[in-house]
Amino acid sequence: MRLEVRWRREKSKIDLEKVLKKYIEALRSGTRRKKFSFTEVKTRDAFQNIRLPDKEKRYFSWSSEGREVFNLVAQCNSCYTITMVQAFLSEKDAENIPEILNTLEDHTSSDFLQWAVYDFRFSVPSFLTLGRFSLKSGYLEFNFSGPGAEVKLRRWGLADIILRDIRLEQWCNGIAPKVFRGKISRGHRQDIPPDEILQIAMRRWSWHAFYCRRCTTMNKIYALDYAGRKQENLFNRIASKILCH
Amino acid sequence: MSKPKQKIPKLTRRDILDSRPVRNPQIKWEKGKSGDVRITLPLRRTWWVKILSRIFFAPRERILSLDEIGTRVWNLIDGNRTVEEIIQSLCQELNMNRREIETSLLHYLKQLATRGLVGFAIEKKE
Repeated sequence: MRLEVRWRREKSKIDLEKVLKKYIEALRSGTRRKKFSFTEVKTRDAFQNIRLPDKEKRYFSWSSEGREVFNLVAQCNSCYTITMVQAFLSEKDAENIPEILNTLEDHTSSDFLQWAVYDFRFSVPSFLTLGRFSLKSGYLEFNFSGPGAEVKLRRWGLADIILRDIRLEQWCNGIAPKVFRGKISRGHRQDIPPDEILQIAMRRWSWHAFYCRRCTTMNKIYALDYAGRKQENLFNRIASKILCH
Repeated sequence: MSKPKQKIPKLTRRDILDSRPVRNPQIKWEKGKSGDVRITLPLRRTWWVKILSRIFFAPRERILSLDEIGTRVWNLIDGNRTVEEIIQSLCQELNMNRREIETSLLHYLKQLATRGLVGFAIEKKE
């Protein structure tokens, strides 16, 4: 199965019928340009199980070159986000579509936004916005900034190889912000199997805090750097929301 | 008259995942003391290399040492496993996400193939 999800913010409620019409026209002209066929087909009954609470939705199916494609357009009644889903189906995938789409969320109910890339899941306050990021195999990095705070979240895979001949404290000396270099051993260490956790905070111009966790079960290392106004509670909440397994 | 160019078949992602990587049998390789794989690559003897090697010392071959993950992949390339099976095996061994493994493995295999160290056996479609 191939599933594409696109979304855009709107300021108010819009006519979904118009959006759908435009969407179908774009698909039709796209397939025509590529010299593929475009035939509208009856949507499967299974898709009636797609429940999107607090969202207005329209869906349709079409087929091209013997392949069935399902499209859905939905708008949230609260945040007015428009979500467009396109799924290229095979016979066995079709049953899973309602289950997958029922988990669609376009806004958070708390003051924290959840982020997930591969199996790296974390939450940051909604006032922080994503800046630089890096998606390398075995290394993920996300930099967030907002009023009074800068947050950097990182995840390494292959922890057993990284920490083969080196202790976590020694390794952290190399990856922690400069203010902590050589001072990591002064931090607070906790061993809560399967996790090894290191935490340190200090004031230099602004308040800096660093948190590092190694999970021996999943063979991963997570790190959180914080710089900004002293908000220990916020830092601890972000750290506790880095989910592993 | 120049020969008509042979058409290179277009491969889909599925074709690549179903292919079986095979080591180049003409390449010499050995295992080091720590179990890492060392591949001996013969250097190309072009005319300018031949001239320069009369003046300077030029080795006839070069040793390519694979790191731990590279060695694991090299050991899994046995001609029997498909790329998909190698991905599954690495996912389990390294406890990493399938997508992460797939992206980096395909890139790595491409690099090995560009150097002529591996080839890919693809089943003929009827």
